[in-house]
Amino acid sequence: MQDFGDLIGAILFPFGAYFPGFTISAALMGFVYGIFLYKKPGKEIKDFKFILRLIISSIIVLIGIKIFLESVFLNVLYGKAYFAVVASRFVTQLILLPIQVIVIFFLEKALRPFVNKYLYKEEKIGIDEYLDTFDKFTKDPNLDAMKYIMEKFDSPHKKLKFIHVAGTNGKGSVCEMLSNILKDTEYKVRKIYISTFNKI
Amino acid sequence: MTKLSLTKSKKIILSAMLLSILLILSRFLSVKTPLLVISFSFIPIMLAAIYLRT
Repeated sequence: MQDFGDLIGAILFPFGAYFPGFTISAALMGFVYGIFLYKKPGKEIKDFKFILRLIISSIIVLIGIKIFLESVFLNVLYGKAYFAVVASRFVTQLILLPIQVIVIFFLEKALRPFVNKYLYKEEKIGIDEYLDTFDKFTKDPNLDAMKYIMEKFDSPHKKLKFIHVAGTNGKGSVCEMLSNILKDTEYKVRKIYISTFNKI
Repeated sequence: MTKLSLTKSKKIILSAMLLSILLILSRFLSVKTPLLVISFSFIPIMLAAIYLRT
């Protein structure tokens, strides 16, 4: 969108010479922001994550495009005097960066109810598509919920005097290793195992 | 079972609105000196990125 903006703007309200390089850099800028900031309709992003994305994308745009690419273009435009231009640009962008992050964060938050009300439209979907809306993997699986409920029950699992090994693969190996470790300390180890399927 | 989505016509309208805001902000409501330009044109750019991906 920004590339159109630059083009139309230059045609309609020109100031200074028009240079196609800035249209390219504007398009790239929009591309970078689009990758980092795009929100799927109806999907919530945590505030912290959103701020992080804002900061990262702003820094990439600042260093990669505003400084590196545009200094090349400015070199083409102004000749050797471009260094002063780059330095002053760098300073303004550096000042503008935190302002940018804060303004966009609060603006997005303020616009959210209106966007949900007027911009997005609810659409009926079939069961297949509905199932596709779920993520394949949930965010990192951990034992926090289980630990919490065990604490509410006064941690019965910590009073147990045995080790329970369960799972799909590797139970036997783990048991063997554990028994050898315990045998080398002062513990007595008794093995109970199934030799055949018929007798225990 | 419903899903929120953006229709194509709304996308076009939104991009036109943001584009016009962008033009006004970057060409008229910006402080211009020979060396540096201070403007708030990043607002429509980043909003377009958030809602339209481009």
